[in-house]
Amino acid sequence: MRKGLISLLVALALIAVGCGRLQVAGTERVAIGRAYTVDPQIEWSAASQGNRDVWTVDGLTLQAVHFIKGVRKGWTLLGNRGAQNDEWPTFDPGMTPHESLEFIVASLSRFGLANVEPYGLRPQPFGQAQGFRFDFDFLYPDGLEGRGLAAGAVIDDRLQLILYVGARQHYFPEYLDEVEAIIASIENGADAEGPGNVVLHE
Amino acid sequence: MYKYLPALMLTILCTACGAPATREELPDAVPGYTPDKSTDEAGLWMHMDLMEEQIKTSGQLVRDPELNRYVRDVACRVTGPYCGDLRVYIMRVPHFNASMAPNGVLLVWTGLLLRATNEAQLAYVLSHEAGHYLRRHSLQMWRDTERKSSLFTVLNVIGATIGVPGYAYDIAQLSAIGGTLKFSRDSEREADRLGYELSTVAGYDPRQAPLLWEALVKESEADDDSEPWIFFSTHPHTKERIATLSKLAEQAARNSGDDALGEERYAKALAPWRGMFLRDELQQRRFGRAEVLLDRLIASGRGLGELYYYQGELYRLRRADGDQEKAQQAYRQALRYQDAPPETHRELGAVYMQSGAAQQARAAFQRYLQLRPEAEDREMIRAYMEQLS
Repeated sequence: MRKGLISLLVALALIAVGCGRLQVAGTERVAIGRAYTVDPQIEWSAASQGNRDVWTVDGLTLQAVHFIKGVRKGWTLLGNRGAQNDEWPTFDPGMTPHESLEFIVASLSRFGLANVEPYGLRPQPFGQAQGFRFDFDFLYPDGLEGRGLAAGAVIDDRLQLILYVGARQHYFPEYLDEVEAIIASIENGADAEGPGNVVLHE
Repeated sequence: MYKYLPALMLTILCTACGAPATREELPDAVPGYTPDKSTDEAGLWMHMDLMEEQIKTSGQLVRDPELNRYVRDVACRVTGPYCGDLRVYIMRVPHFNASMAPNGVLLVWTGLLLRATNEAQLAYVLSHEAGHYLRRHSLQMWRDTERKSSLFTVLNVIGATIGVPGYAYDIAQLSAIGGTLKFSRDSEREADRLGYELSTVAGYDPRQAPLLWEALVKESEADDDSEPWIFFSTHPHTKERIATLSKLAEQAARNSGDDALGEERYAKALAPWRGMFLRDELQQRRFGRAEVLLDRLIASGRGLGELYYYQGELYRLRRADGDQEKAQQAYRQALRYQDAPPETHRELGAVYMQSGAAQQARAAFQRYLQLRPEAEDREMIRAYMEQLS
């Protein structure tokens, strides 16, 4: 548990450093791992860490789009942290969308979001794949109200997931339309680069 | 070597923290007591006041007026004239704990509310914590640890401030409210006895205290974690302690009032919340202790439809060999009772769907939508049904 927590903090620190100087261009499609590409719509500050790419405009604590790139069987949401600790939920490709929702919500709770309340689970295309979508409310540990959405699909036995979270007031709605457009722009199986190779532009 | 110095210092300091403390005898707190501003006690209160402000805005704070009123009423019933000095905060944390700060902040975690099966058990735990407050044990420990190491206070403040970032339940920070300092065995014995006296005088059945303790020990034994209860990490649970309480309880049981358990009141107050608390518990994925807990709650005989549903949820989430069949059995058992949540049909449908029983799955999903026509996940359920046809 402690080791996992340190890894998470290091990851967040790396992301925070990265976000200050890297940008995703808004005019070119961006590869998310090997699985799909998206149209970023606008310029985002971005960084890549482990199985996750993170984009933000105003800062990670205010709003962030997380692209979780292919959670495999037995993995936790952010990699294989759970292998040594049963208390971290792990993914199974046989999960129903309801169970995927539970997996995501339980993971978010363990990462520090409180009172995560999901709603509106529904089918939604993920590029050409049949996927799911749900929204959720939560509280940051200091009590600040947050909102989120999750869009995902199981492709080749791996969970591909886009999570958008932000402060309920202003920051989440500020780029909600752009995030919806990003999800709508997903094209699966394009000639994407390897995991972690987000196309970044200085 | 130098890079290990901070860790070494912390180790030395923490070893000192854990050592038995020498107690300084203090007069009991009196109702309405506040310390003189020039004293170290005022400094301790100020520290706790600051943490109380954080508690007030915490995401884990349960703000429901009815539940807060109920828990406060129980606390007031056992503390009598000290009621006005208490400020009760219910924290949505799925672990068994309660703690009392020297400034009157009483934290009650939802994991405790889930595990108590009647008002008498809750009353005993609150009485025990009130015992620490009345005897000013926190101030005793504060002074003792300051004598041992001046750096401890710094460590304490740091620990209380930073908590455990990234972890769902800011347990370290919550524990710091009155609980960071490990009370001496003498203080614990005193709080045990006071807790027993306060709850007995208030008319509660004193035999409930050892019953609750024994139940927690059973959960501990079923848990992979060697020290699963924060409450026990500061409140040693020995067989001697349980035996002592049992003996005291037997002697006093004849004096307890007609409504010594408060079972009906407790069940009514917790009914709107128990499902959420059970969901939080299962989200911890500590299935060993959750299984023991659910067995005990089922044995209590109240709300069986809901309890069997969550037993099914436990097996479904655990995914061990044979759990799918166990989940199915538990859901079917739940549906024998009126209070089974409509979601039981949904989960039963999912089990049928995964086992290839398409017709039964469709029927179960259909029943769920009949009972919850406005269910927020109805689109997904309809998608399942289309897949099954």
